[in-house]
Parts: sequence; C-alpha cells; structure tokens
Amino acid sequence: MGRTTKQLSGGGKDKFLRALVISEAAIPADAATRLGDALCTSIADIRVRRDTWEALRRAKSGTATFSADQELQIRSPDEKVAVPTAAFNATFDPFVFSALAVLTKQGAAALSARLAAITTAENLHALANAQHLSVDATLIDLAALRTAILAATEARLAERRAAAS
Amino acid sequence: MAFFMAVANRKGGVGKSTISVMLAQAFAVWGGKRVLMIDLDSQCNASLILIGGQGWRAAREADKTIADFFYDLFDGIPAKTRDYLIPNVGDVADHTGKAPRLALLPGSLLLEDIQGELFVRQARESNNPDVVASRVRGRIENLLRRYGASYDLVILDCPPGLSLAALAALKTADKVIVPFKPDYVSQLAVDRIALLIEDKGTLDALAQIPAEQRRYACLANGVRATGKDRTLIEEIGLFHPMLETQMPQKDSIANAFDWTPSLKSIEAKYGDGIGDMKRLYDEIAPTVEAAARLRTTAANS
Repeated sequence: MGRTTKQLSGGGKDKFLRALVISEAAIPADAATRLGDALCTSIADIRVRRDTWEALRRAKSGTATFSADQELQIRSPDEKVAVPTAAFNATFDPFVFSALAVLTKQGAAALSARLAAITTAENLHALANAQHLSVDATLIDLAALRTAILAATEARLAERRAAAS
Repeated sequence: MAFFMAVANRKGGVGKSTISVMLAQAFAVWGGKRVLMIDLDSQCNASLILIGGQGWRAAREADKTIADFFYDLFDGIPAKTRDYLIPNVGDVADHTGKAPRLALLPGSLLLEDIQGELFVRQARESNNPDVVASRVRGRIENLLRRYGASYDLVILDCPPGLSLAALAALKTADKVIVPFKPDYVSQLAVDRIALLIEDKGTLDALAQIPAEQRRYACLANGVRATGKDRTLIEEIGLFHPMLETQMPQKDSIANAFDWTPSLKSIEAKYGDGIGDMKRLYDEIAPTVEAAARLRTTAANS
C-alpha cells in the first residue's frame, strides 16, 4: 500500500508551495509570487498529502486539467494579470524574484511588469545590488531606474552566454 | 556492466568528494549494490574519508593508488585490476552490521605527475599534442572501464580543473552529477562543465538538447534558506537540469566526513542529514536501476 503523505524539502518543497499558492485563483499573480517566496524562505520542510502533490505536479506539467468543481485551480505562470502597485518597503526582499530568470523565461515585458510593482527607488536599487545588476547608484527616477535594471539584466545574460562560449 | 557515475565540477570546494562518498555509501548500504569509488582527485579527500589517514598512507606504501594503477597498466602490462583496490571501506555498516560492498581505488598526490609522464611516453608516437592528449585520455578511459565488470556502480570522484583523467571520467560516465554551491562563480563553472559534458560550444547550442536527454544533472549543495540561494539556484536552472533534491548547509553533514575506525549505522553517521541523503539517493537510484535493467535485457537478448 502506498504512503498517503510525502516529505518535501529543498526545491521540491519550494515547487509545491509555489504551485499551491498559484492554484488559488483569488490571489493576484504578483501577490501569489510574493506569498510563495515568503513561504519558501520561511519553511524548511513539510509533509504533504500525496494526492494534492500529485495533482499539482500533473497540473504543472500540463498533463491534467481540472474542472470547475475541483478544488485545485491551476493558473499558468504566464497568465497576464493586473500588477498591484502597492509597495511593501518595510519588508522588501531583494530576491523576491530573479530578474535574470524572469527575463530569460518570460521576456523583457514581463520583467518590466515585475519591476513596475516595485514602487520605490530604494527597493529597486536593493534588488539591483543584491542580484549583481549594475545600475547608476545616483538614479532616482523610477522609470529610468527600471529601464536601467532591464538593461543591466540583459547585459548580465549576455555576459553569462559570453563567458560560457 | 557497472553504471558509471561521475561527480564533477571545474570549481573546487563545491562538495564533489562529500557527495561522492554519500552516494557510494547510500547505494552500498540502502541499495545493496557493489560499489567502487575511484578517487581521481589528487587532494584525495574521498580516500581520506573512506579509509582515514593511516589507511591512505598504507595504500600509498603498498602502491595501491590510482597513480600506480594508471602507471602500471598504461602500457598494457598484465596485472589484476583488483590488486589496486581496497575492499569494504568506510565506517558505516549495512543492515547486517557488516561493512557494505564498497571498494576504493585510492587517490594519489602523484596523479597529475603521472599524467604528465604518460603524456610524454605517448608523445614518442606522435608530434601532434592534440593527438597525444586524445590517446592518453582514451587509454585512461579504457582503464577506468576495466572495473565495470565487477561492480554495479562505479563512482568517479573528479578533480577540479580539466586533467586528462577528469576528461576521461566525463567521457566514461553514464551520468554526471554536478554539485554546486549557490554563488555567482558557480554559475559560470556549471555552464562550462555542462558544455564540456555535452560537447557543445554555447549555451544556445546546449539548449537544443532536451533536459531529460542530457547526461548530467546539477545538485545544489550547502544550500541556506535564503532568497539569495533560491535565486541563484533558479538562475543556474535556467540552462541546466536540476535535481529536485537540494543538500542543505548542515553541521551534521559537514561533520559526517571525519573517518572513524569503528563501524556505525549510516543513520548515526549522518545524523539529521540522513533525510537529505535519503532523498538524494531516492532521486538518483531509479536512473541507476533503469540502466541496470536495460543492460540485463540487452545481455539476455
């Protein structure tokens, strides 16, 4: 007889938590990402119901669909939703998302949208510094700063490709 | 024929030897496999972990090291490959309380010198350095493969950098585990060894190979529960297949590699790191088992 629960830690735990939060259709995508990040950072390991884990895993890999009456509603990570403008300066996590990962997986527009959700120059600089994105430290104009971060992320990706070739 | 698994990264200090030893002990104890660890790193950490300082000195004095093996057999001198091995190594016991079937071909401080000597010896037959290097690497590869018949799993603990022995190990391996620490330098090191393993020139060319068809998988090691580590792992995973298991930074794991003369259970040795080790084993074991089944089927047909 198979076990009904499963211990998760590390990347598996993170994937599960993010998928679970994203499956809640009522939570905006940006808030779901932040909530997922906070859970991943705070929780070291978890024991989950295997059927839930299987359902999320199948849904993420696109091999299963969920009807409206089922509990889990999986939303595509690429789905476009309104980006909340509220900043949360006091607890800003400069690793709230990877600029490089967003740019590589979803493109420049998606990265711009993610940066638009960060509404203070201080937090934008914090993200740039933490993620080794070289921008002019004197920039305070938000639009210019976001443009500079996008350019710096593109430069970092180009650097990585060049270093590997 | 054994499954050859290399543990490699051009960067040092990422935990190649400790991951090698963990996998060797996991497969020997939990999997009941006949495991051989070949220590190709002239730092000899895997050897020191598995047989201790005195055991390693005795191996050197008895000419039972990887350098002796390469030197003696390079020219095809008849010798028994098993004469270079130390059986039943490590300080963990299997479920019967005995040492598991884990053997070691000990490392040597002289391995790099020996490779130079083999190169010079081979250079008498060709003036082209690329041809010479290729021949030396090919012969080392053949020597490593000679151990395949007697074991279920051969683990190749590779040195940092790209010696001929390291290149031969990468060629020999059915699967390469690439441990890395989540930092920016590791990102570049992983990119480069991945290109080498798959014989590609750029990350874009590498991306043409589906992740599940690649010969390597990356393993985040020494992971802290921080946003920075999570971000860096995600960024490395943009271009590379990543094992779901991540090895956390834990004292119990770091302290597990101090060799002791008496056998203990694997659970006692790895303390609260045992769950992480078991997850790693559970994730990799199916690949080894599947390869074993394929070989059995091929042998029977």
